[in-house]
Amino acid sequence: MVKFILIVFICFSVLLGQELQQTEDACQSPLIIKANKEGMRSIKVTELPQFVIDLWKCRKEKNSKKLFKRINEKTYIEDYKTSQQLVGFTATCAYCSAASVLIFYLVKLSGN
Amino acid sequence: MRCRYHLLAYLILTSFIIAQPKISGRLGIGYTSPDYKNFAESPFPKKGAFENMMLNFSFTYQVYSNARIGYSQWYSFTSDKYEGEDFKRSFNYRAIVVETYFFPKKKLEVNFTIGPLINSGSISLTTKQTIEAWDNLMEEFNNSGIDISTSDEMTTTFLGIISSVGARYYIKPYLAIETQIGFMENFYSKDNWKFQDKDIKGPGIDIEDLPLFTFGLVYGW
Repeated sequence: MVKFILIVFICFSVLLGQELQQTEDACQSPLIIKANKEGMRSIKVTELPQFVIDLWKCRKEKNSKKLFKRINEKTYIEDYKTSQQLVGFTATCAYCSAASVLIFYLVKLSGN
Repeated sequence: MRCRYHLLAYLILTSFIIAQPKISGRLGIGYTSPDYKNFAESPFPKKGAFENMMLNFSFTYQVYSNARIGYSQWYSFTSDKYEGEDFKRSFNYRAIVVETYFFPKKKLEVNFTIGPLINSGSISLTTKQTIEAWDNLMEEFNNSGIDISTSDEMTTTFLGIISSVGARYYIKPYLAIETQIGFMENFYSKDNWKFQDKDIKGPGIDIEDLPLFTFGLVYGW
C-alpha cells in the first residue's frame, strides 16, 4: 500500500511538473529577453546553442514571428549605432586601403 | 611571478571572449586578370575566362567595434592535358587581413581590407611510362604492358599585399552578401621556382599588380 501511494505521488508530481512546463512561455527565456533588449550580438558564442534551442522552442508560440522580427530589427539598430563611424586606428586603416585602391586603378587606367 | 603571467593571460583571453564574440566566415568567387605571357601560349592549356576565376574563403574575428582580423585565401586552379599527360596548375593567395568597417545605413556596411599575402604556386604533371627494371620484374610474373604512373610538381612561394574596398548588405543579422573591389600586388619572380629541391626557372607570369573583384556570402555571429 505504501509503495502504491509512493508511485502515485511520483506520477502526480511528474505530471504536474509537465503541466507547469507547458504553460511556461518559451519566448520568455532569459536569452531571448536579452536579445530582444540588446540585439543578437549581446549573446555570447558560448550561449549560442542554448539561444538557438530557445528560439526553436519559441517558434510555435503566439506572436513569435513578431518577436523574431523585433530581435532582428534591434540587432540592425545596435550594429548601426556601434559601428556608425570609423573610430581611432580603424580610420587610418580605412584611409590607407581606400587610397591604395584608388591610386592603383588611377595608375591602371592611365596606362602606367 | 608565474601567477602574474597566468592572471595576465587570463585577463587578455577573457576580455577578448567577453568583449567581442563576433565571428564570421565568407565563401565567394573572385575575378582577376593575370597575364600568363609564354605560360599560356601553346602547348600550355588555356582556359579563357575560367582561368581568371578564383574561389575564396575567409574567417574573421571582430576585435574592436569597427575592426576584424582574419585569414583569407584565394585559390586559382587549372587542369588539362599537356602532350597527352595530366597537367595541373594552381596558385594559392593567402592573406592575414585587417578589415575595418562602418555602417552608413542600417543593414549596409562599407569595409576596407588590407593585409600581407603569402602565396604559393605549383605546376604538376603526371606521366605514364615503362621503366625497364619494373617491366622485367613484371615479366617474371607473366605480366606485360603495364605502365608506371609518376607524378611530380614544381613549386614557388612569393609575397605580396592585398587591399580592397567593399560593401556588405545584411539579409539577416547573421547572413549577408558582399562585393569587393581591390588589387593584389605580388612580388613574383620566375627565377624562384623549385623542382625536387633544385632551383629552376619557371613560367613568366605577369601577376605583379592584379585587379581583383569578388562576390560572396558571409555567415557570421
